[in-house]
Amino acid sequence: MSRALNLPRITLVLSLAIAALTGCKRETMVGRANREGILLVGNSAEPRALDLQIVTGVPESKILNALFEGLVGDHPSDDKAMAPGVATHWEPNGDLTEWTFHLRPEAKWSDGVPLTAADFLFSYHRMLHPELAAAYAPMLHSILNAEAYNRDERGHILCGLDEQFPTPWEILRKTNFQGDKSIDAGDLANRDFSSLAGDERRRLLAAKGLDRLNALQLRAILDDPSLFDWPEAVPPETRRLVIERLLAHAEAGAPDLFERAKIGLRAPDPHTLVVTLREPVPYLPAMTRHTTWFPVPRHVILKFGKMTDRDTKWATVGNHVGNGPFKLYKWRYNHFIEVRRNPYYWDAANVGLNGIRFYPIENAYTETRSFLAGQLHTTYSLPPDLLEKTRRDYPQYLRTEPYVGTVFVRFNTTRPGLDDPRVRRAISLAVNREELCKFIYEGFAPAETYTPRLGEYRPPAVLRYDLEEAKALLAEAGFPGGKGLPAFSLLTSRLNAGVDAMQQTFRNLGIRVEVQQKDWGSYVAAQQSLNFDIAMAGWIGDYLDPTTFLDMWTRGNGNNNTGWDSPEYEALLRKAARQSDPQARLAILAEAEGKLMEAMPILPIAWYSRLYLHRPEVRGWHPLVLDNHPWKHVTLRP
Amino acid sequence: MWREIANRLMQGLLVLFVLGTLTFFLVHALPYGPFQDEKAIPDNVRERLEQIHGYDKPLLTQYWLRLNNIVRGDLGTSIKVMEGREVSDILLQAFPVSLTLGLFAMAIAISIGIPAGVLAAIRKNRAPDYIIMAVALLGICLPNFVIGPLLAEFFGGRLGWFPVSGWDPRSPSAMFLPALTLGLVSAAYLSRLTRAGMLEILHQDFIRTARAKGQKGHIIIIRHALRGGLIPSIAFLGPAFAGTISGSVVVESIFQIPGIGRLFIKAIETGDETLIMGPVLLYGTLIVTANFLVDLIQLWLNPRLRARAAA
Repeated sequence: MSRALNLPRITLVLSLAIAALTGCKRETMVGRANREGILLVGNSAEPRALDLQIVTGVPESKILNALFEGLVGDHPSDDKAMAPGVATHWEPNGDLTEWTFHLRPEAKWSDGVPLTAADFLFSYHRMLHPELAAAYAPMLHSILNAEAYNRDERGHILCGLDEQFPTPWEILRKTNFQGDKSIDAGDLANRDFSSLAGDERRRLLAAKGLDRLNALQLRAILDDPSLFDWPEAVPPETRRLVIERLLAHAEAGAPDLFERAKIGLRAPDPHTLVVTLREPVPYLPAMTRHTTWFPVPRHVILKFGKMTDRDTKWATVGNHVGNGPFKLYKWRYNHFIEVRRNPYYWDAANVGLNGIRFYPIENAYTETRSFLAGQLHTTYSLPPDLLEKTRRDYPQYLRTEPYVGTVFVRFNTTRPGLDDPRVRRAISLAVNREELCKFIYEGFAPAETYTPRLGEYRPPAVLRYDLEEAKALLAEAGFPGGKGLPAFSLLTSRLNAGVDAMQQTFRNLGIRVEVQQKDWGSYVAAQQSLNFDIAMAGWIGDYLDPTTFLDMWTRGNGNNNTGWDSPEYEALLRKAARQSDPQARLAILAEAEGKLMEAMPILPIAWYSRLYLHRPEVRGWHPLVLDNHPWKHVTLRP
Repeated sequence: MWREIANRLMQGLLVLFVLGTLTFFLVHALPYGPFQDEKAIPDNVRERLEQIHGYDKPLLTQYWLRLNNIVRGDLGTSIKVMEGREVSDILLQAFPVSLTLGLFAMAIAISIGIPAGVLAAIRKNRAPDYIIMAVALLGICLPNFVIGPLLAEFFGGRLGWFPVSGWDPRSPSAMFLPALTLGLVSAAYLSRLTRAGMLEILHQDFIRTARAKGQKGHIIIIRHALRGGLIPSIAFLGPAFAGTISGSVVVESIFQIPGIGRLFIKAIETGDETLIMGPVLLYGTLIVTANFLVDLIQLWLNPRLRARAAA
């Protein structure tokens, strides 16, 4: 019996099998990649798609920056420097409301087709086209009339932008074109319009707004003007004209309004692009470095479908065409995406790598292990709890660099207790940011205000820690020792030491807080519907200007989600938007941020850092606040 | 017997229909949907997206349309996670990975679990039994998110024998650690089930008779005892296999494997209904089929069941 199940023999066979499995090669993936000139990059997540006008995520943008290039390029070591991209040079007019970009004549797509200003016109047309439904289209709204076109404001375009129209837009705009959100007509949406009673019709029309009505509904208003409420100031004959124009448009099958919208884009010749803006934008060149401003290949997109089709095969391996230093080579879902050198790139001679492989490793611990086992050159993020060990054991790999982001806590300012700015300020005073950054948000910097350091922008550094003052302020607000305040919930999508620390902060003031954990989707939904008390949150800027942090705290902005708004704050933002002197503009924005911190609908905790691991043989990679390392300058020198 | 089989098949289809219907309505009852992002999506964009994906229609209409499409074999395209890609395409890429991993894991589980269980049964209440059962209990108790990183750290990191992450269909060495992690738990269960099954059989009269005839020990075990002793293990194998394939989410994350599990979780997090439905129906089909096959194997192994089915 014992001979049949000889343990030593089994062990021998097993170890031989393992030896066979492991093989004999000892060269790591990084070693091989160094020989081949391929950079191995940890990139956090699988991209949703590689159609740059549809995606919005950071992992996607990393890959898109290898496949495409905008008008202005990224500098390898200076965030503020504007390197030439497709444009060789550019200049604004006197008040910074019009920018002219001169495109390089030798620019080509990765299939050899010349790249001209017409491609940019097509790209921005597609990005703004209401039927494409590009979530990031608002990045282009500073172009003259772009917002009206993107939001399909038919009345505005067909009547308001027509200089011959009898009633000027200033008066006409009071009309309910975009629908009244306070009216609920959900029960009527799927019913046959002709079967509705008079007041049901009235309710549906008011909820939808003139811009969203179909021919049948518009004709009903022509027949019975009482179905729609007009502002007094709009004369009856104009009312009829408005409806007639909208009706003609609807009956024609709602054709594209791009031409009629008179959008501030023109191409006087194939290598010149002129962008006219609705207000001065001194940072426009910096903004064009964002993927939303990159060109897309008209000739390829139209080969695979209509301009507005979202899911065609143009952006897949074999079909994808870009204008960046690299082109799409391989795409293994959830495994890796590989890009290879683009021979048609205008600066191909100076591209340092033969290719880049992006690995969508979401688990940061797995990514760290992969890096240390020689499978990656650079990682997306290092888990903060590994920071200390890495500092001790692998200091040669560790990188900690400032990043344009802020960790903060969002207050629902419509909740009793939290509606008092003194209470919110008191809570802020009770947050010991130094300690938090030392022990929990390791590597992050204690926030001094909401917007992290961006170039020359210097908002007042108001945040500080003073528990005694916090208690006094809370007492002044009528809640001494937290008495009289209800128990709040602290919403979060993941439990971590940061949440515990916040809970303790509230406890120090005598305020009861219960942690409420929700899955990611519900967490986001709860905030967007103001269905929370206090929430852990964060924000990453899109470009190097404080407006990427400040614009969101305005009334009705979908990212505000605090219930707070202030006419004074918004007046300052508008004043800054009209200001064409860059220094004066930043000063006004700093003043606005001061107001924001006074009202404190959000409580900033820490400024982001990028913590990651990076191999020393990767050259041409410098700390950048926006973290957009231009791939073409990266080289491998083992 | 054929009627029994046809009956089982009809039951399977009914299970899939109920599963699909429940999934559809549960996904639509989620407090969030696919047209929501961390950064707010402008209203006009969201409305247009709803229109593109038919979300502006009444729910029952949507259900009816989806049901029709699925019956015709059209699973639709992903709404969010891999927008625009055919769900069947995605599954075709990801399923072979999960399947290979699952098969490899089961092979490991069987080649460790069954011999260990047999050995423990033969050496009942002696050192090998205690050691094997203690290790097995440990294997059942230790979750794979502990075993996985430990194996990766030691065999991948320290010894450098295997890659610590990634997947290469041509290289079994990349599959070894994840397959081992997944297989160890099943191996532990299998060894306990095999031990119990073998012990029961080894006490039966026909074994004593064989022994009395002077039959050699290992022949008794292999030829007589194993066939009966493995019945509990076989019954476990079907669901375990399906469970291994569908339950590899954690292992897929630890070892960065492009299987279905991670996709499925992402689809749930974003409310991507089509990409949830695809794996649900696939897993459903898999489990129904696995159970069906196990029934057949048991009919073949167990003469009593065969007689009952024939009657």
